[in-house]
Amino acid sequence: MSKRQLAMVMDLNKCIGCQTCTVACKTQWTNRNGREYMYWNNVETYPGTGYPKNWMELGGGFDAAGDLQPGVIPNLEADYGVPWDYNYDALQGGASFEPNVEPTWGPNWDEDEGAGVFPQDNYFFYLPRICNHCTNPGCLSACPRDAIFKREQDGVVLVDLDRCQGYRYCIAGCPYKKIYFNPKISKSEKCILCFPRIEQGLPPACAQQCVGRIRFVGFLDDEEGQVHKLVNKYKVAIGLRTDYGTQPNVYYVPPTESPAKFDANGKIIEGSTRLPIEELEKLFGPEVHGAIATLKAEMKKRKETGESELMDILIAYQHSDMFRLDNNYYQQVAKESGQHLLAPVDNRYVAGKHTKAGHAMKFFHGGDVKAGGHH
Amino acid sequence: MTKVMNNKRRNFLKVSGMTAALVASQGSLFAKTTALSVENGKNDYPNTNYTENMYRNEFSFTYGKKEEHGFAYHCVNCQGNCAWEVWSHNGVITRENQSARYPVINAKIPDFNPRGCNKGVQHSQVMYQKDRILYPMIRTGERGEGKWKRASWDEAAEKICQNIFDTLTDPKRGPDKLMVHAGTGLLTEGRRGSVLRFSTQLGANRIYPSSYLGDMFSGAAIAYGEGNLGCTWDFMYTVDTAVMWGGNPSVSRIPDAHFVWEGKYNGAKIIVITPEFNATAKSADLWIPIKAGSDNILAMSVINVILNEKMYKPEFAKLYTDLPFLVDVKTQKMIRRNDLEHTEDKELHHKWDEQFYCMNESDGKPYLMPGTEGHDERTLRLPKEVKPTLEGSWTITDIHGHKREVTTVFEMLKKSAAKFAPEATKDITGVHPDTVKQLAKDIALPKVVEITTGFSLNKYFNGMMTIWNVASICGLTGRMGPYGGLNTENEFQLSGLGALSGFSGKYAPRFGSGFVGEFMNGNGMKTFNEYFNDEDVKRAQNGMSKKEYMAVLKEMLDAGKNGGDNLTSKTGNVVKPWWLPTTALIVADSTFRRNKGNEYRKAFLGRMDFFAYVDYRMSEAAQYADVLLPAKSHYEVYDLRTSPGYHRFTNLAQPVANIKNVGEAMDEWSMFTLLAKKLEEIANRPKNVAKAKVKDDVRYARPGFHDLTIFHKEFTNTDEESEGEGEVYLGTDKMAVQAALEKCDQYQPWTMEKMYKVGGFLMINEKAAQTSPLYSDKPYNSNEDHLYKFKPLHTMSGRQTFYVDHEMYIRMGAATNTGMEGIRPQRKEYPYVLMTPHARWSIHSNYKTSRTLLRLQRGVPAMQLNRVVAAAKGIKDGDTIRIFNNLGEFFAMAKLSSSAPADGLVMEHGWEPYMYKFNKGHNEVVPTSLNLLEMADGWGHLKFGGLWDGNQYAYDGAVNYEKAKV
Amino acid sequence: MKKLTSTLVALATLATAVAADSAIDARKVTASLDKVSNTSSVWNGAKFSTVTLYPQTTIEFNDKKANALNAENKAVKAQVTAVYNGSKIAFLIKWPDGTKNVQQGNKTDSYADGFAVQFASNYANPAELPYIGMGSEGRQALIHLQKQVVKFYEPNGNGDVATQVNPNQTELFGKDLKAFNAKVDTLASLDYEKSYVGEGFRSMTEIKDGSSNSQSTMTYGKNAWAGTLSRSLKDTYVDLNAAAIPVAFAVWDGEKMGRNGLKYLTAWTAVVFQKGDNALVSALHGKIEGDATKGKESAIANGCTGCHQMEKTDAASLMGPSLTNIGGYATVDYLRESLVKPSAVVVPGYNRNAHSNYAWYNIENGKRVSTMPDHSWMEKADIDNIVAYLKTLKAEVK
Repeated sequence: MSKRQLAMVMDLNKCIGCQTCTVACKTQWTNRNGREYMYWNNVETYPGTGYPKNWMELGGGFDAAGDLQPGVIPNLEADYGVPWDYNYDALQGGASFEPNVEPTWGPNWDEDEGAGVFPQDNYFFYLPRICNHCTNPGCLSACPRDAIFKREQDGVVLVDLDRCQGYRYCIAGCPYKKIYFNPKISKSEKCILCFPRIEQGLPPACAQQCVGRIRFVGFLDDEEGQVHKLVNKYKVAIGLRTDYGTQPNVYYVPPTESPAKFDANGKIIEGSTRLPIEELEKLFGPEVHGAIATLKAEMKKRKETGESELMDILIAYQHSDMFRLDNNYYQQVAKESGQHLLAPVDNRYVAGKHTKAGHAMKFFHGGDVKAGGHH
Repeated sequence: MTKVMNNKRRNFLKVSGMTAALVASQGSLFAKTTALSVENGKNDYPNTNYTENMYRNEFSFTYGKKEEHGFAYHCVNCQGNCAWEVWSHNGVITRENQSARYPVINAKIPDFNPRGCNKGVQHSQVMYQKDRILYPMIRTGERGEGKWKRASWDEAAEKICQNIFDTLTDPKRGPDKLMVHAGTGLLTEGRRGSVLRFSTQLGANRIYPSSYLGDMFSGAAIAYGEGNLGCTWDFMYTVDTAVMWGGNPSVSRIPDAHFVWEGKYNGAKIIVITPEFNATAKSADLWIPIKAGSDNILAMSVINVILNEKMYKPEFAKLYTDLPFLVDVKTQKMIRRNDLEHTEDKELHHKWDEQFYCMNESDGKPYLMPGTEGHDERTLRLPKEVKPTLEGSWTITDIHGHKREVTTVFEMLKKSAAKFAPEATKDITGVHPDTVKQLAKDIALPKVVEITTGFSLNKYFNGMMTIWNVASICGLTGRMGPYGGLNTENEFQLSGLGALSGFSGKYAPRFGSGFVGEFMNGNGMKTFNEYFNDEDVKRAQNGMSKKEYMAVLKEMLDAGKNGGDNLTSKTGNVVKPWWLPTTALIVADSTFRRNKGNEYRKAFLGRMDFFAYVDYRMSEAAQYADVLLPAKSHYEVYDLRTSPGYHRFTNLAQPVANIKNVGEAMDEWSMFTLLAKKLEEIANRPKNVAKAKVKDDVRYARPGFHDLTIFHKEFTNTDEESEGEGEVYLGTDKMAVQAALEKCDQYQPWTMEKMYKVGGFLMINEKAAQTSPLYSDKPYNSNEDHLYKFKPLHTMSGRQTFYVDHEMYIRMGAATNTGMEGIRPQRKEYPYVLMTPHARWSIHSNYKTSRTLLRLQRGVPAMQLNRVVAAAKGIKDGDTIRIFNNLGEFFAMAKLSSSAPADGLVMEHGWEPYMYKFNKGHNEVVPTSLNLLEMADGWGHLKFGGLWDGNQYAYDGAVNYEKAKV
Repeated sequence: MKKLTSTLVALATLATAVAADSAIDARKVTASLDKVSNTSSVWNGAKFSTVTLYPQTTIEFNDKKANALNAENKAVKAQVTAVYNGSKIAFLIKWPDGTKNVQQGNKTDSYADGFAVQFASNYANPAELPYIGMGSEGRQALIHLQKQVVKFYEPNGNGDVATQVNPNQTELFGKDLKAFNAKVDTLASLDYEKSYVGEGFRSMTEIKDGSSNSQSTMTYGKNAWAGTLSRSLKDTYVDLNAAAIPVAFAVWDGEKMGRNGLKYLTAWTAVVFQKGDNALVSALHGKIEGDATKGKESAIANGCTGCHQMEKTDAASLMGPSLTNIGGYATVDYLRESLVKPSAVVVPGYNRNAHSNYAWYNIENGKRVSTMPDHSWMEKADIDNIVAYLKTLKAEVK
């Protein structure tokens, strides 16, 4: 176990499927050098085939006894989708705009399609996914070289690119298929939870740039943090497919909000919801019932009394409050290991268990205003 | 060979002296590598630095130097307008990150951070895409053939300006044959001003974008005398009910959507009314799957319920609406002061024409209502003894001694609404009567209800009626200011920016109607005639035959030709004016992409003798230009942009330090200053100088002419007159920004430096408010002044309008709110409606060719088809389908979906024709038409202008589809 | 399947093991061995020895498709010859392979054909050679690897990001862009040749500092590969100046998704420089004592199959390494040592997290201690019998 674990919570009720996260990640890390096809962050429409195609059926993870399960390495053309390109420079020559390969699959192929019968009971929701930075990572466990590691300071799972030999068992071993083979460098790569941003006081690109404001980032042991409260106090944030046995550290507030169904005559079925509970249970396990009950109860309380700490957290009045990156802690780690850590490039997100000083913002109108503290 | 890949690499080995000596003796300068043993990667991994430093280096590279960062926004008619911090490395832009520094307005209301969506977040990728226009280019082959020669800026400017000069000075042509127009690829306070200024200075023709895009809120204009109203989006957090009527904020209002979902957590009920199941509907409390285009009828049904169940607010109606105004039952005309009093004074007579009565319950006599357009008293406040009556009918005697049976607008509305009981509208709207009743309650009963109408509603033939009806629901239920109301698109007021685009009245813009202009430009009548039959027209225009419609329309169009009757009217505009230019200089407008029908491009190019185009990328329009000029894109310029009113911030564009130019791209101010210089040079050539004072109507040129010999001086404010008046100097994008900051009241007291320092934006001051105070700690919503200060609206009645007694409205049975079916053909061979809503993946055609974004779609135009229907046709997901009707056809990839209705096809719009098979865009099957209710003009506040133009429709095509054989 | 099973049974019941491959004679030459390929004249008249490469089945990896493809692997015979001069030694190995597989730069699931040659750093005691799979703790091995990878870029270790950016993400167009792409192209390695030191598979560490020097080639033709390796007789890792040295060869078949342990492997094989009595040669190629039939009975009686899959017909076990091909690539000494001193070499290459309930070893006082019981109490004859039996455990030759 790493000393501490940095975690993310994603609120699926607030996810609008815009993929700003996906693109923010892409421009930060994966628009280059063999990573073009990779989506360290992707958002899929659920129910759907997902990315890579049918990832939930591709094996990996652990069985109940704790044994790593065999898996399949997805194929670029069939399962991820070739990152097709276009004849941009031919447009000036009057040409039509055409992809260089026929697109047959991609990371968002079944966007908004959903399931069910329109309009009676069709439904969908968005499922954003990054590497889960698991406590018991399938990728790490599958690597015969032990070239995947968890950072001691924050539990971020990284591939040691010095030692990785490109065997790809990690890909088979990850039940989320969130580790990728980079064919250009012949090594595996994956989401790094933007640790270089975090170390310099910027939250992960997918989270900080999430315009739907669905992502919280902080240490699980930071009791004042939203992540801790959502995961441990209210237990409304649950890991995805924890039955895979990897102990994921990305948590989801399950979707509870969906419009009522209609009967065959187009009449509203009062009190119904389009989200089949079996599907949610499949994704989030039996804990989902408790989480939904808590969320519904707190929403009701909020509606009736105007109060609810849980709603306050999920609403997230101030964007910068969604992140507690504990910069003093990182500075301390760097100091202890003799590394040179640069000063934060941003002071708004640095609070945490070891960083008590709140993020004083040089406020707009002039004077210094202490941000936050309005809950 | 084993290569030495990296000599900086961490060394596992503690080299002993002996080993070192051994190594040295063998000629190797390197230490021996030893095996690194790892027991378990979960703990104390010994080799973290290599990987960590690699990624840290990448981050440093993309982040660059903080002090070299720029700021920008992407103003391409999304209007969202978000502050971005632009990162760079060595003058090359690497990526962008939302600035996310907007201040908290109220600690109990979510802030606006991080503002910016999936499209903004990839502009750094698009700006270097290889479809950039790099240099001025002059066409050498046929139009569209793709043969060009690279030209110098001087050469290109010479060519363009000579054409402009020739057009203006040709006795048979003149300024009105020239179009200088900036499309919505450039909607800013800074750069756009250059094109507008150039256009105005020349007397060139330009058209209203919101009209030709179908984004004009004509229905709101009727109701409120203002099309753009509503709230800053943080208001959504505070409501009890939010209705998204035709709106899909999770897709097309991405930076603001969080307020809706946070509002839901805060207790709001979210209702979505859309034909398709979309990203907003998926999380709503109530989704109403309406049949496409029947929204105005559903709204009437809601009005019916509100009236029948007495859920309206009579006291509000009496004070703030024209519902108590008296109407002649027989003529359907409102009773005006001239009906009951006589004056010889022509001016007074005109004023009295805009004065109206209610029936005063206190004394049973008509009472002349204050606050109307013609009334001297500019308040809605009524004396205590005046109690307007909403219901009843009376007989009054007019000035001629005629008995007139009168009633109230409210009674007229009740009569009209009676036809739309929920049971009666069920089949047309597809909405169950119980749902209508529920909707009525959810809108009428809670304290705060905001109804957001989506831009899609204006895309239907009868969209104007939809928005008017929805506005009327708000009016009946007393929704204004703190109680919510209609939310089209709030717009803050900016004053003083005329200093950039205008000439203190010396020259005035020659505005043509947007929807009519494009209809005429593209031979719309031909398309209309080809597509719609008598039955369609009758259904949509209150029983008027197609023949009659075409005759009426022709008369209206003739009246607007070359400015038409407006030029002689003494009472303001009375028609929709239009011109047919033969020379065009167009900026950032993919005109062949957006216009409807299969005729437009041919007609446009056939008429245009010369067509120059400015953009940073090869749009469909660029491919057909005679001269191409390379513009800079959003990260390469100085600029300013205020959101119309989704928020209260104005964003700054300031390039990154030492930015490397892309090709020879130029910002629009520098470019148009260069063109101005060239035009002045041409005008001063000995052979030209005599004709260089170009005559024009005094409406457009106060001196009666445009003086091209001092064109550059006037353009840059270096002419004697401007210098005398101390006008700001202009000439570059940066100068324009500085001038705007200096001149615009609402920007005070900000400077560029201060904007840069806080994160690339400023907060506009309280003077930006239009109809409500802009409180420092509260979201904004329109019309609070109306409610609390009794300030009249900009309508003829000074109140919310439920009644328009324009002849055409009476003729169409639409003097008050009513429901009318659309013009879309209802033939069984074309059973599907083609819906092309605003896109998640582009802003119209902007960003449509983004590699990054296309990879997150299907790479080619894809059409959402109802799974069951498509399967029955033997179509599989991924198949190519042919979509067709009697106008034309186009091809797309089939996307089988549970979210598409059985009778509809759903595809995001904005695809350039060149992205489709055979260069046939989806507008090939989209007809064009003009609704006589939007054509009507010259009534009260409904006079042609930025408020009252009309809409080009997009959803009136009925199609069929099949598996393609290509 | 039926035929295979009966073959295996037949093999297992043999009283004596099939004779191991013979040693390889190295021929001294005067020619330079600096640049060697399979067409070099230095190979003229070479005498080839046959070596057998057995499918490595010690550990089952977690790649479902690859496992299916390799389930019925048979042994492969390769032809090897070696030459040396005053400073260098070179090998030529030819092995059959029906398909040429080059790992592509744009595929996620394409794999390379390849080969490797392994040397032991210390081979003074033939009974304690490094574990065949990349050595073992305290017994270092050196490996030269050559794979068919179309081209690859090392990830940036030098802070050089500028050449790794997406070329479409630069301000360059036209000719400038072409020049940039060309420049970046020169940074790619076209020759996937690497050297490693290891003390157990997972400790395998690439030698990137130039302290080992080698040159190898791979050429495909006529359904077979020919691989050459030339290296110094002595570097900081090995000193091959001896009468005989142990080497081992491995080949990978990309068609069967071969990589890392999914390979074919020889046992340690002696390369003989000077003929004569040699302890190494007899340790690796000598006669095997013991009675395999009795050994099998003894193995069963002692419950070996409780933890090890011995024959393909036995149930696979997660507890101990699979021994189905152990006879092919393990030496007699190694097998004996494993029985009597199970912790002397704890088979590396096992990720402790994969099967946390089946720990092959525990860490005691910083040392890996095998969970296999010590069998030093057994009679020598019994041990010989079991070893003889184990030596019969190997796939038949294709």
